[in-house]
Amino acid sequence: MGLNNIRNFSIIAHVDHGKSTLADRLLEFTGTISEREKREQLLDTLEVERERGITVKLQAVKMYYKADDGETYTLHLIDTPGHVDFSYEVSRALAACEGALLLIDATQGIEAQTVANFWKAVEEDLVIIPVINKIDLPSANIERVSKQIEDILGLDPSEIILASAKEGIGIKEILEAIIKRIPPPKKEDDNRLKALIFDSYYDPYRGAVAFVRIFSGEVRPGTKIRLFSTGKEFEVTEVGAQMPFMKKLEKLSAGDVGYISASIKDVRDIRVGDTITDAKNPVDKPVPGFKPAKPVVFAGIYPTGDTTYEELRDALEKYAINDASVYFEPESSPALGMGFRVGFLGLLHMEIVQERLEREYGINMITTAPNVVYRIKLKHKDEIREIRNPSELPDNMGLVEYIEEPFAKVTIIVPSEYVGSIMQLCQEKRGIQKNFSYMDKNTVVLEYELPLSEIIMDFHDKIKTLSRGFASYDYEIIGYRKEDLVRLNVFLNKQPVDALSFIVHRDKAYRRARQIVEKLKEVIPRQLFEVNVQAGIGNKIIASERIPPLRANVTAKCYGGDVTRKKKLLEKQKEGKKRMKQFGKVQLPQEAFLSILSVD
Amino acid sequence: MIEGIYIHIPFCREKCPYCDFYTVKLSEHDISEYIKCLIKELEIYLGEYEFNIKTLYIGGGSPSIISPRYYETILKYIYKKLGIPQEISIECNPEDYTKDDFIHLRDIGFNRVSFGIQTFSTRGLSILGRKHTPMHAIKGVEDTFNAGIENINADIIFGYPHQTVEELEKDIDTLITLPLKHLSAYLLTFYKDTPFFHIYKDFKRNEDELAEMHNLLCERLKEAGFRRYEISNWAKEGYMCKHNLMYWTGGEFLGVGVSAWSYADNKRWGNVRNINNYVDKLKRGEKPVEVSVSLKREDLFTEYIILGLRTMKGINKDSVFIPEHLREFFEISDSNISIKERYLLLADEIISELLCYNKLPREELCWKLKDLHP
Ligand SMILES: Nc1nc2c(ncn2[C@@H]2O[C@H](COP(=O)(O)OP(=O)(O)O)[C@@H](O)[C@H]2O)c(=O)[nH]1
Ligand SMILES: C[S@@+](CC[C@H](N)C(=O)[O-])C[C@H]1O[C@@H](n2cnc3c(N)ncnc32)[C@H](O)[C@@H]1O
Ligand code: SF4
Ligand SMILES: [Mg+2]
Repeated sequence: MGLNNIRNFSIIAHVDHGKSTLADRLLEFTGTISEREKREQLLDTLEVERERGITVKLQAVKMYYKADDGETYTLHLIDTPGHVDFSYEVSRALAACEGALLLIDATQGIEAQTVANFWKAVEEDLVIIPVINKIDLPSANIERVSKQIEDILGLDPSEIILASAKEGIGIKEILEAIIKRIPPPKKEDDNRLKALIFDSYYDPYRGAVAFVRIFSGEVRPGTKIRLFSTGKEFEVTEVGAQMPFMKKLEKLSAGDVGYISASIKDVRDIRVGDTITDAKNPVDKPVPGFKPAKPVVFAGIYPTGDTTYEELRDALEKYAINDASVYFEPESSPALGMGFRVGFLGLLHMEIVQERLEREYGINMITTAPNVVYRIKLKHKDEIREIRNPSELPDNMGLVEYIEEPFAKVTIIVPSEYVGSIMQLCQEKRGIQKNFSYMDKNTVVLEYELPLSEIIMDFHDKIKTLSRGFASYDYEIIGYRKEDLVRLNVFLNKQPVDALSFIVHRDKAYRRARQIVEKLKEVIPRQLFEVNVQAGIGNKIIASERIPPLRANVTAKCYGGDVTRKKKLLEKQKEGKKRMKQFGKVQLPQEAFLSILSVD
Repeated sequence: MIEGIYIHIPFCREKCPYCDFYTVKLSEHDISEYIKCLIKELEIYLGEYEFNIKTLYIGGGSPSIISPRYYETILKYIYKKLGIPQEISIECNPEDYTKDDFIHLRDIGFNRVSFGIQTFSTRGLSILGRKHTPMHAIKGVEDTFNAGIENINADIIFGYPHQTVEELEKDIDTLITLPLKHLSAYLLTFYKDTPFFHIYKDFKRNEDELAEMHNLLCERLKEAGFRRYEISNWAKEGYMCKHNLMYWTGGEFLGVGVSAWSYADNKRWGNVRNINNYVDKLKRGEKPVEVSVSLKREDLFTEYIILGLRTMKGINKDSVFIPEHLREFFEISDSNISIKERYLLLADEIISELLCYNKLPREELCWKLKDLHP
């Protein structure tokens, strides 16, 4: 099949506008999956995805479609996540495509990630097909949404396709539009192998597997490949595509999207964004690729329970290949021992990583309070140092000339009735208003500059609560600014616990100190010993609480029949304890480390 | 070698709201048929295990709501097959038996009676949903004593909702005037699936008050000549309950009757928890077992710790590792360690924490639970 009969496209949208559901319909309509294989959001295969009903990872599938023009086309579809934390997944998906379906929920209209993802597609020069989805719903407002598409995105309203992914309306129109409007992959004169790795994962049988878009040449089992960034060479053992289940193919050629495995044992050899070429006949230049993901939130991860440091490292390494956006380096903490500093794209990403490590790799661990990356300039020193862990901040702030924190530009799209409370929230979060405009008569677009640290705290929950779920936001980091920041140290029984310390604006230090000790009192269970909780700047204590010792925990009666049950009960208590982190005499549950997220 | 037999009598007049034992309404079942099944079950095991019976315990439910003559049948059968045990106990609700009944019990061999008194406070009895009066309790104990059974126990419950320290003090005052040789004082447990669990879901007991009650029990009972030998059990010199001690020291026992548990050959097994199934199975000549758990070495060791540390005697001090921060909770003698009396109310917390550090015995200890107890 020639290049002219191939189409590569992504589905992009704000969260919950129906991407994964539309992918289901496309798979069904093209007969890629049989009646028997049908299930909802089929491409959301991870346990966390199915449980939370969200897409976390992009998914690439191959389909064949017989169009009205009588020709059969090969379609490569890439489903993407919508949440702001996973926008990196979207960028990678787009780099492998020539076009994108932009879905907009007919009842919600344009939301923050609609705009953000739209601009990503524009930057990649992709053909964009606007689709208004969920037109089956009684509250669908097609007129309003069409107007938004025209006014805000500047797209021609005549290009809009009306659809219901749920009811299967408009599916054929979408497929025909893909064929007619999205161009086939560009023909390259070169026929040497050039493939972009846009995703990868670790498979226990195949080793590291790379998902690639082939730009030129071809690859088949036996081909000796070279990875551009490291120069390492491997022999390909298998190529194929997801249809939607892994299927071996004879070869992958120019224009194709599929997978390559080459018994690559070391997961670090497959780097997302890298280019694969033919070792015998290499190309000179790699595919431009894309910027590596930049983690914006860092937290410590430490083993607990029966998990060892080595097991944790192993799991992180394997995990990292399936999620190119996590970054980790070893660190050690006086309170927690040996562990890792791990960088995430946001808090949801952090939660997902933690959950997946626990479930898919059987790891027991503690995640410490997340923080953004600060920068300091020391007096009498020229360099500027990055602070990824609050404990790296010198105790003596007199040595520090200045400290900076990252700021982000936040775009909030909100129904006008909630504008007041959202603006107040941004004010409290040290925000500076940059723009206020109407998207249409009921919808306001706000732009603020906010410290990133304020966004990663409880901003998401607050915005959703204040707007009853109707506001959406997107943010983008714009750089560093000097601020009057101090480290709040937390002490348990007078010993500082590095893993609980955090950096705050001086004006908020007292309030946060009070909140954190109260929160810790609430989440640290009463134990055999009294626990004294304090918070302070340097060694100056500004808030303190005491957790009185436990006085009673016993089942009084234990006779013959009870023994089995008694044992279960105590073992359950024991497992609970093992999951906590021992600090001196004090046992800290996971919630303690995340307490700072719930202070405002 | 099986040393003890427990027989479960599931009948009660009404269900108490805090109780999670398997019980059924007396009026709805055929007693004679159930007694026949008990004997049938005993018969099955007689051929299978070796016995050297020291104790027999009839518990419930409320064994005292059926006539002593039913026990005559069972006891005679046991005497004939296995000889006469040293300690033969029966659990009684205070309001049931008369002095004549106790004489009857004595005549057929019972030498220990345990009363479910719970409290002498009328308010307390009503909170607990008990139907007897304080007078029933006092009279029951006296009748038993006068019938010539001197080994008498009282069960009391403390820490029930709204109980005050003064109320417990009054209970103790009354208890020590009665002719008791043994006392079990249980801190009320809110078992899941009982009405109490739901009614008092959001009820927070004052832990400081519980600790005060506990101290009171420690002091007053010691003064009155009782020695504590397990978390909830006190006895006058020479009157520890042999049957219960067997549970805590790894003795092998056979439990018969609906919902009863047994332990032998490193195995614990439990009977079905439904009287109709129980009866049906035995009619068909089947064992009424529902669950059976084989204990591995580490299970035996865990049980050794869990059960042993509930007793004042404790466990072999070389068998476990005690981390620094837990030392202050333990009493260490030449050979044994045990939890200090004032910390017994924290036993579950201490034991579960200790278990984090002890998976297998430090010394090559024996494989049988019984042998772990010297
Ligand atoms: N009524 C209706 N619901 C839809 C439609 N498309 C998707 N949904 C529902 O919208 C929710 C989000 O869909 P999903 O495909 O997971 O969205 P994604 O986050 O964009 O992948 C699910 O509950 C779908 O069942 C549609 O056309 N009509
Ligand atoms: C199974 S009962 C049988 C005795 C008799 N039926 C009675 O209730 O008087 C044995 C003893 O267990 C104790 N008990 C029952 N439920 C309890 C609970 N939820 N918490 C603490 N002790 C309990 C009571 O003290 C009771 O006397
Ligand atoms: S506490 Fe005693 S009387 Fe009440 S239901 Fe339980 S066994 Fe029966
Ligand atoms: Mg999705």
